[in-house]
Formats: sequence, C-alpha cells, structure tokens
Amino acid sequence: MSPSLLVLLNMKKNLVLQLKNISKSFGKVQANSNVSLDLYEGEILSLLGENGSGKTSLMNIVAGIYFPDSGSVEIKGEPVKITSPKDAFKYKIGMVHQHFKLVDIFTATENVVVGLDKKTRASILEDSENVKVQETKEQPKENILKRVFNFITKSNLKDSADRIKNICNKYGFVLDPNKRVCDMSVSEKQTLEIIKTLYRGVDILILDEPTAVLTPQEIDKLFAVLRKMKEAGKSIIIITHKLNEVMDISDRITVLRKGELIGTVNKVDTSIEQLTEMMVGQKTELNIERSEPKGKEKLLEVKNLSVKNAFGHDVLEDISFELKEGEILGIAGISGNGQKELLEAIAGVQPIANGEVIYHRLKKNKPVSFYHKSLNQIKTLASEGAFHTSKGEKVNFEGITNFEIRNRVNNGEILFNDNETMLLKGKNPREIRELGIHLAFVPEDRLGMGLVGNMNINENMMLRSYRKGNGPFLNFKKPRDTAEKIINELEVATTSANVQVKKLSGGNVQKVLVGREIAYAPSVFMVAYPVRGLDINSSYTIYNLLNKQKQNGVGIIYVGEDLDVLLALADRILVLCNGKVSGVVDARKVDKRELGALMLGK
Amino acid sequence: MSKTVLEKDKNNLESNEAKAPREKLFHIAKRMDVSLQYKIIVRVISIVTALLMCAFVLNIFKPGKFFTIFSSSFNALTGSTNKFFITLDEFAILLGISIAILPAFKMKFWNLGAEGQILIGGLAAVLVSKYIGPYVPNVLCTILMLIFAIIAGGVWALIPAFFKAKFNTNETLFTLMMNYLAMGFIAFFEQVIDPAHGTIAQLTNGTFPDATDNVKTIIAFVIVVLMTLFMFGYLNKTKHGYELTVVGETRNTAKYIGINVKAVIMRTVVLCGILCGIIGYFTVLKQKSISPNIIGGKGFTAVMIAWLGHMNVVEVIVMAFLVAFITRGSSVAATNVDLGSAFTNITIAIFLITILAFEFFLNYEVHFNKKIFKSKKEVKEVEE
Repeated sequence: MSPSLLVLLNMKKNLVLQLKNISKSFGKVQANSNVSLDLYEGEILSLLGENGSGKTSLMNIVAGIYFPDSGSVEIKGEPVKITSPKDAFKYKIGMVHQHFKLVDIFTATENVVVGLDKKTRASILEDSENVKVQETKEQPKENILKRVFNFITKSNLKDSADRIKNICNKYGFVLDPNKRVCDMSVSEKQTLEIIKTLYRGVDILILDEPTAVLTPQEIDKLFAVLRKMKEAGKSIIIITHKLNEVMDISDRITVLRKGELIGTVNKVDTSIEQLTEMMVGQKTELNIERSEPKGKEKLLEVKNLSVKNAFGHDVLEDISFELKEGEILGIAGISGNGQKELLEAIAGVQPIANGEVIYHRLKKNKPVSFYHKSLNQIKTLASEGAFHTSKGEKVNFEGITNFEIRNRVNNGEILFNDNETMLLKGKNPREIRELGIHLAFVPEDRLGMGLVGNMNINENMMLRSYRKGNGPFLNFKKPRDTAEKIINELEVATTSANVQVKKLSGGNVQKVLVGREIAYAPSVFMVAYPVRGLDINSSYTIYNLLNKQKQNGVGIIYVGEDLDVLLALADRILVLCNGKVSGVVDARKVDKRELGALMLGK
Repeated sequence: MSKTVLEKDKNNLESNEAKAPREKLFHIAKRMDVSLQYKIIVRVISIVTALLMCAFVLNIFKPGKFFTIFSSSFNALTGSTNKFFITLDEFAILLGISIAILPAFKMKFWNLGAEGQILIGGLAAVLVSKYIGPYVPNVLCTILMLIFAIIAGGVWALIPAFFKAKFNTNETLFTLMMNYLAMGFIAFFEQVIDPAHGTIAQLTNGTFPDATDNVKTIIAFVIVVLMTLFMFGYLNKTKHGYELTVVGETRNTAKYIGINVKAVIMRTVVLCGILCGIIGYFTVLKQKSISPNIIGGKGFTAVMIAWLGHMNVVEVIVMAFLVAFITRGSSVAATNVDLGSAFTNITIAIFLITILAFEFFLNYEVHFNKKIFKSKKEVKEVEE
C-alpha cells in the first residue's frame, strides 16, 4: 500500500469545503482560473504559490470578500453562495488577513465582540461548550445609568472575556483579554485575530501568510496552537510561500501557479524539491553569487542615532553602525521594528532626534575639482591645510592669483589629505543631493514613495533629475534617454516609455525604480524589501543588479524579510529589535536560528 | 445504479440552486485603459444626451418647445454682435476661473474658494479706485488696481494654503468658508462707503467709463487667452508644474525625492489666488462696482469645468465653451418662451450632472453575467 492511501484510510474524514472550477478576474488580470480544492475535517491544508499566484484572492472568495465569476462553493456537500463575510461566518468560515483588521484603541475583548449584536453574542455564549452561562432573563429595559456604569466598567463584557480565556486555555494561546491592541506585539495581534474567529465559532479557519510577521520561535508557538485546533476537529487553510513551513505543518498541499491549479499532494508523498518545481515550474536553487567586499574605507557612519515618532516615542534608539565601500549590509528584523525609520533618517526624510549620520566622501589622495567645491571653499580648505600637491608638498595659496589656483586645480595637482566627512543630520534629500552625495533609495512602497503611478516611465525618470539645468523649464531629452536605456538593459516589459508606471507588473515597476536609482550613480544605495511581490526571475535580476553595484564599490544597505536571501546575499547583517540594534553578525557564519533569536532580542 | 445516483445528484443540485440566493446580474470593474477614441465617443454621447435632457426639461415647462434651446443657443452665439459679446464674456469669465483653479486642482488641493479670491481681489481694486483714484492719473490708478487685486487675491489664497501645509487642515471647507468671509467683507465696505444706500456707486477712476463694454470684453478675453497659454506651459513644461503634479499624485514620493511639499502647496495656491485677483480686477473694470453676488456662483461652475476637463487645459477650454454656450442658450430661450431666470440654473445643473454621470463609463466597465442571460435565453427557447 502506498503511504498516501494509508493516510486516506487513517483520515476517514468528511469533506467540509469544496471549491469547484472557481474563476475570478479583475479587469484583464485573471486571478484564478478553474481552480478546484477540497478541504477535509480536521486537517491542515497549505495553499502554496508564489506571490501573485492567486492564493489570497481564492481564499477571499471563500471568506465572502470577492464573489467568483464562475464556479461553485460547497460546504459539507451543499452548494452555497457566500456574498459577504457575514455569510462566511454563517457557514462557520473565518479568515485572518495578512493585514490585521483590528481597532487599535480597543481591548482584545472589545475587538472580539465588535460588530456582534446582543442577540448573536448571547447565542454564541449559549453555544459555547465550556462556559456555563448564567440564566440571563430578558430585562425589559436596562436602566440607562446601569448601562453607562456597565460600559465604563466593562462588566457587560465579562462573559465574553471569560469565553476568550477559555478559548486561550483550550488551545494554548497566551493573551490578556483586557490589553489594548495598540499595546500588543504583532504576534499578539495575530493571536487575537485567530481568537476572534474562534469566538464566533468557526470550523474552517483561513490564515493568510501568518508567519510573515513572526520570528522562528513565534512560528513554532503558532504551529503548536494550530495542531491543537486540528485535533479539536477544525479545518485550517494556510496561505504561504515558505516551503519549510509547509513541510512542517500541513497534511496536504495545494499548489497554485499564475492563478491555475497545479495539483494537490499529500505531505508524506512529496518533497521540497517537488513542491518547488510545482510552484515555479522548474527546479531552482537559491543560488546568489557573493563576492568579497572590495574596499575597506568607511562610506557611511551612523552614530547613536535616535528617532522619535509623532507621539514622541522612540522608534529608533541609539543605533550605531558603519557601512564600508563595496559591501552589502543586510538589515534583519520583524517588520515595524524601525527599519523604515532607519532608512528614512539616513535619507533625510525622517527628522533625527539624536545622534549623527556621517558621510565619508572617499577623496584621500584624490584631486580636488570644481565639481563639488567653489573657489572660495577651496581657498578656505587650503588655508586649513586640507590639501597636498601631487609631489607631496604642502599647499599654500597665499599670494597666488585666482587664475593660477584655477589652473592648478584643473590640472589635478591639488590632492586631498584625507576623506571628506559630511554631516547629514538635519538635511533634507534635496540638500543632501546638492552636497553632491549620491544617496540612492528604493523605498518599500514603490508606487507610494519611489514612483508616481499615474506618470509614465519618462516622467518618473525625471523625479531624480528634473531640477538639473537653469531656468524654469524641464529638460525632457535626458530622462527619455535614461528611460530607453533602462528598458533595454533591464528588459522592462512595456510597449513604450510612455506607459503609465502603474500599468506595469510589480517586477517591471521595481526594475524601473531600481534602474532609475542606479542611473543616479550612487555611492550609497539603500533598498527596502526590493523583491517583495516579485517572481523568482525578477528577484534574481534585482540581486544581480545589487551585486554589480557592490563590485563597483557602492555601499549597499539591504532591508529584507526573507532570511534565506539575507544570509545568501549580505556580507554582514545588522539585526533590529524594538528600534535597537540587537546584533551585527557576519552573514557567512551565522544561521537562521541565531538570526531569529536576535530578532526577538535574545 | 450509477445512473440513478447521478440523476439523484442532479435533482439535488437543482433544488439547491433554487434555494440559493440570486446571483448578481452584472458586476462592475474598474477600467485600466481608456483609448482616446473611446474617450471622445463617450464624451460626444454624453454631451448630446445632456443637450437632449435640457431640451426635454424645457419641453416639460413649455410643451412643444423642444428645439427652442438649440435654436436659442446658436442665436445667442451668432444672433447679433451684442449677443455674441455677452456669450464671449460668459466664456471668458468661466474659462478664466477654471484656468485659475487648475494648478490647485492638479495638485489635488480642492480650492473651492475661487469666488472669494475673485471678490477680495475685486474689492481691493474698488478700494484703490475709491480712495487712491482721485489723487493719481487714470492709468496709474488702473495699474495700482491690478496690483492690489493680485496681492489681495494671493494673500486670500495663502491663508488656507498655509493652514493646509502647516496643519493639514481640510482645504475644501476652509476655502468654502473664506468665500462667505469675502462676501461679508464686501457687504461691510458697502456700508462704510455709502451708509445711506448700502451699495457701491459706479466708479470713475481707473475703470475707463468711456470705453464700451465690448472693448472691455475683448480685453478680458485676451487676458484669459494669455492666462490659458501660460497655464498650459506652466503645467506641462516647467519644473514648478512637474513638482505640483508629483505632490498631487503622491505626497510621499515628493517627500522622498526632496520636494519641499509645504512650499509647493503654498506657491501653487497663491498662484491660483493671483489669477483670481486678475479676474476680480477686470470684473470690477467692467461692472465699475462690486457686490457680494457679482460672480454669481461661477466659482463653483468652474470647479465642475475643471473636474470634467480632467485638469487638462485643452479639455477645460472645450468644457468652458460648452457651459457658456448652454448657459447663454437657456437664458435666451427663457426670455423667448417667457420663463424665469432660474431656468438657466436648472439647465446648467442638468447639463453638468448628465456629463458627470457619463464619467462612469470612462472609469468603469460593466460585465453582465453571461450565465443568467444564457439561461434566460434557453428558457425562452424552450417556451417557444
């Protein structure tokens, strides 16, 4: 007997959810075409696929957020129409979305009961297997004072809070029902979302990328809880693209690629290699070339940096590190631990409360030019003794005409003694640019921070350079050339440079943005989540571009979420936790577990 | 046996389908690509429909007068020199205001305060004419009127822009309220200048009382044409225009690239105020006076024109012309068939709303549920 048959026999389980030939399109984009899927009682099914393969939209159909164009949904053998999340709860389906839908200033209990009317709440409490509900007779009319009192003391939510505690005990969650969401960590918020669905009595729980925001340790905890839920007879669907987790937790795995169903396999019959092949169409290995860092000179120095948010809380506290030329410094951390603020502070977008960002222009023994310095600046620097001649003599401009100084500078006879240091604190991106510092930045939100979606590729090229040239008018020629160059060299799939950027696919949008920043000839290059949402091929294009910049001596700061990529690409990794540096490690020597522990601040 | 099971299944399915809630008849999807051809077709259909709707409404009030609105509109344009100049004046003012608010709208700063900015500019011109006029030559007086109108309009616009930039206040309400404030100012000065009547008498200084209205209309029209050309270049060819477009699209991108967002907001809105001040100046030049209702809601009509023109100078010109055309047409029609002046307002409202409704087809497409239509067809076929 084959192992799969054995599993089937052992299961003897009922079909709880069946999707038949589901298709859904958004405009011209076909999110799902003819996808069928089965879910049995008491199993964990992984929905696996790359970004944009239609996992989330398929599950949104089950959760009542979208309605399919064609195909049918059956619950326990009966065809149903789920037209709203309310319908979904009626059929005992609950979904935990990737972006939590919680009210920040409410407590856990309030978040759980919000949206439920009195009747539903009462019926849920009666249904509850564990809570003994006191016989609450229907009171004709509650005294208004009493209601206000109840509202203030929250005693009217006591039953609900008890039930939440019971749920926690039953499945092994740890959560304080009276804690406010704004005081919760990401994993607590996720716990709360799961409890919210359990409270409403779901049989089918859908989790959209639940592990994306968790540390390895927290993931273990989550999986333990999920196993307990499975034992209690609940069916769980996990959307993910992380293969090791899939192999860890699931009973069966359904793979989607580009909106189509590739197949469903039992975990015991399959391997990571087979799943990868199903996912991407061919076997690929995370095979990123990593060269040794070239130079040794410091490019960027961050000293005791602190940044406060709008409420005056520290989002970054006492951060110090160095970036050398020709190295990739990875920044790891659970998202929201200060990565965004760190990059923004360096780029001059975020005000710095304390500390300093120092840029070193590598000028040691290199000639002075009028490109960055005016004649007067050069004179002052010379009087301070910052230069020497090509013959190693001291420079003295006293008694020499301006014309002669110009000649000597233009001939390249005057050299810097040392690297120039520049303080970036308090300067905005434009001022930094005007200092001649080429600080390139690919922010996490491409269309919201880096590009303008409604503008075409040419116009987006202009963002960096539109100010160049005197006079009030724009120069259209150069951006057009840059755009052509990027389209050709990075193979951007577009009909012309006149296409609005928002109409390009995610990978091509990223190519345009990265291409523009590279065209800016950076000396420091900061990238945040550059491959988020990209397919494997586009991701490799980006890795290669970064590596090429590294070989050119550019210092790169790479903020990433995929630890495997960080370990393969970076030279050193700085780990952020709660806005503090919890460690700087050598990426060639560290492993994922250690990184995970640092991410948790241990 | 398997056959019977299948049949049973089928029966089950059918009964279930009857129980299940109705499927949606159609669904609406956002349009990603709009070709120029499609856009023009939708626009032409919408304009024709809007005109027909106006004619239809006239037919309700005065049965049998369906075509009057068309003949009147053309009559207003070509009937006589006088009528032509009145239409031209209407067009110039509407286009002028629309162009004036265009940069703010392109920046997604919803400036509803054009009316107030014009009024305050006009008021400044009136005060100059009244209190400085007697002591200076006529030409200098008119130049001073223009300068002060520009300053007043600019400052009036700077106030909401400053609060938007500094404290992110809602510009829509702010500018709207500033309109009533401007009207209040005018009412106040009417009382101050002539306590007995409460109106401002015809001004003579700096308003060229000898020149005919038609000459003034031509001057106003030429100024508006120059404004329009300037705005086309400003929005499309200059660094300023580029900056304000980026700020309007995504403020974060602007910030990341080092655009001083606050300065751009203030600069752009002040430009609106300056242009409105100019319009205020030549309104005073023509009316030789000012009153709180002198603009008569054109500031809001211009908002619609800018919006329907998709913040595009060329489209705005066409829309402004159409609205002027239909305004004058319905006004002539109203006199012809003996209707009150409110009829003009009704027609403009209907005209604009119809065109606005057709925007739906530019932004969305409707997909009908093929399954339902098919099954209905099949049912019909079976019945036949």
